Amino acid sequence: MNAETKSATATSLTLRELGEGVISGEVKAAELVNGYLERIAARDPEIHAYLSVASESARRTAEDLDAAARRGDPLGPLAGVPVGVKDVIAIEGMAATAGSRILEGYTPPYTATAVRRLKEAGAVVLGKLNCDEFAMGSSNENSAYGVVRNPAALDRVPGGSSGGSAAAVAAEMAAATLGTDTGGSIRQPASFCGVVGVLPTYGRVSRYGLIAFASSLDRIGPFARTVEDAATVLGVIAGHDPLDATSSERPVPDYVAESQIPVEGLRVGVPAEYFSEGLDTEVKLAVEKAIDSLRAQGCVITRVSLPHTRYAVPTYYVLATAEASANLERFDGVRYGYRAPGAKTLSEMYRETRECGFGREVKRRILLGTYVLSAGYYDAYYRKAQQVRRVLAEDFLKAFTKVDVIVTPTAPTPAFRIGEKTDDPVSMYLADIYTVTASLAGICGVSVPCGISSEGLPIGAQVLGPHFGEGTVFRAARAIEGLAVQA
Amino acid sequence: MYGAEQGKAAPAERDCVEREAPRSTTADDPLYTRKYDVKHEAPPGPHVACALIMTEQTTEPKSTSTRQEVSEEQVRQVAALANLELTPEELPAMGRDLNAILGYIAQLNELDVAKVAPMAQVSEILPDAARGEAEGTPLREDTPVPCLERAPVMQAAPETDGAFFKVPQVIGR
Repeated sequence: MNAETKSATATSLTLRELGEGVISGEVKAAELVNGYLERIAARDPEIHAYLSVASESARRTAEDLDAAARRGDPLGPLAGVPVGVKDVIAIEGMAATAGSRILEGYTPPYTATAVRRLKEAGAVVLGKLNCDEFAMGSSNENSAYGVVRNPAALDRVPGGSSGGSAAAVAAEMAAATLGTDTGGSIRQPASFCGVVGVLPTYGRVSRYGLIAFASSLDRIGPFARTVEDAATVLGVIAGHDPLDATSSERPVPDYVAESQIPVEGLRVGVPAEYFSEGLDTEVKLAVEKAIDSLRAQGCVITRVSLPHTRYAVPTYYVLATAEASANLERFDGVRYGYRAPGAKTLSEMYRETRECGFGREVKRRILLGTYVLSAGYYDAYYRKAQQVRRVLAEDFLKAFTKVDVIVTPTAPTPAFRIGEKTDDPVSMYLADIYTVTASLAGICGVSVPCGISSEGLPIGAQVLGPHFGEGTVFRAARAIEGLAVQA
Repeated sequence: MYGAEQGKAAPAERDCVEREAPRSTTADDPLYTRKYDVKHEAPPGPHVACALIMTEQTTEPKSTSTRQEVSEEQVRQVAALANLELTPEELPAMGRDLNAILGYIAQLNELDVAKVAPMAQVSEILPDAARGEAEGTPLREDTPVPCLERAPVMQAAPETDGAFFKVPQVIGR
């Protein structure tokens, strides 16, 4: 096979095969990157997944990789693989907006550890991806730079907050992307766009260089077309980092190898609390079909109970907003980004900068977070939510003594219409009803495509595993993927 | 835009530099029309599901009735604490949203967690935490390492003399 044929079929190769192809010279990184840049130019004007595209540096990096391959220099496993990065993650020399006007014009002087590891493995960064402002949202409608459209249906949201990251993979405008998940922001858009999205265990991937939303919940994770590709990327970005004090020192296993172990005998838990009324019928049927398929492949299906699930969303919105109100105090017009002009005093400058720089949802969450932390309300809201957080985590710890993984729907519905929920914050928050509990508990999970609705919208199944159980989660997810194309 | 290095999309229309520009968050903004009264009526969509899950699993009534409404004055105070300056139009809308969300959060009062220790970090519930060696919270050697150079950091500041960040007057007369 000559180089041209191989790169023309690039999207049917795994990331590992692409990397091997670039190393051997069979695939030209420059052609690969150009192909993706051309697709971005053709498709992104209507999808709007990218906030910035680094065409020149991407082409240059790809040419350097091809030259290194010709010389026989050692290259990393993702050599030439074109990736996109959610715009809440810092890359030196590339603008970072966090989807907010308050960071307009800011170019970070440093690179996030996860991105550094991707680059060291040979990946080529194509650009920065659109998202809800400061990762706050479930539809990508809170971006100050405009909505992202779902590639499967342009009148629908791609989910959020990592909407651009999910849409870019779905529209083949990146081979893989990085997103972030605080309450479901990787898994829910993966479900809406029909791609694989990974929530790694808290502490598995360094948060250094991630613009903080809620530090005890924030995680960086990959999006990819297949479970194997997602496992490959996680293997590259995971691991201890002295620059993140909560980063785990556990060694990183070979996730791809672990994902290939047959699922026979795997104990799969199904929690009734995730299949109650309000779950869309087609989503329910698709996830039940996925569970049936696991049974057919030799898994032992067990009912488990996560009895406090219904308290997860209110708990999350106390804790996440409290942490956000503290984290976002740093955006005050002093050190980076936007400063309101003409203020006469420092405090006037702070207030006007924040008033103009922040969007509505961010202000709403800062107010809520400030309120629940304020004198007289701290115990009633913040402390109480921290106590319920432990109860929710213990539900999972108990369940995982009986089962290896838990399978649920990722979201209660397929992608909803743009504008459908923007007038109602509580209804929007409930789009995260199946994802926030795992966020609070710190466990890992994957959203994997498992079906397509009668309207042609992707449906995702969520596979949850215990802390540092990513390998097992990939194993089960791999046994589910493929159902979406058969459907 | 795609040919340009880091060519960035323009921010969505939101005129904020001109302070007298009308805000889009007024009460008659269609986005802010409440479709329901949160205290009395379940909102549409998945919340219904939540309400059903609730009745399915508990016999206790929702204890939201005792919660005091947040007044506009309180919203103003909280905004001041957060260094946010809400416009007269934003204030009632934020008050309504805050009350809706707090009404929803009040269901946590159904749970008696008085004896449960608060959980602040995931490391607290990992197996090693019991041995006092919380995973993910290793203490590192307290040795100095190079940090970011001053020049590129100052370059990102809205106003600087190269060594310091410059800000408007701090102390009033």
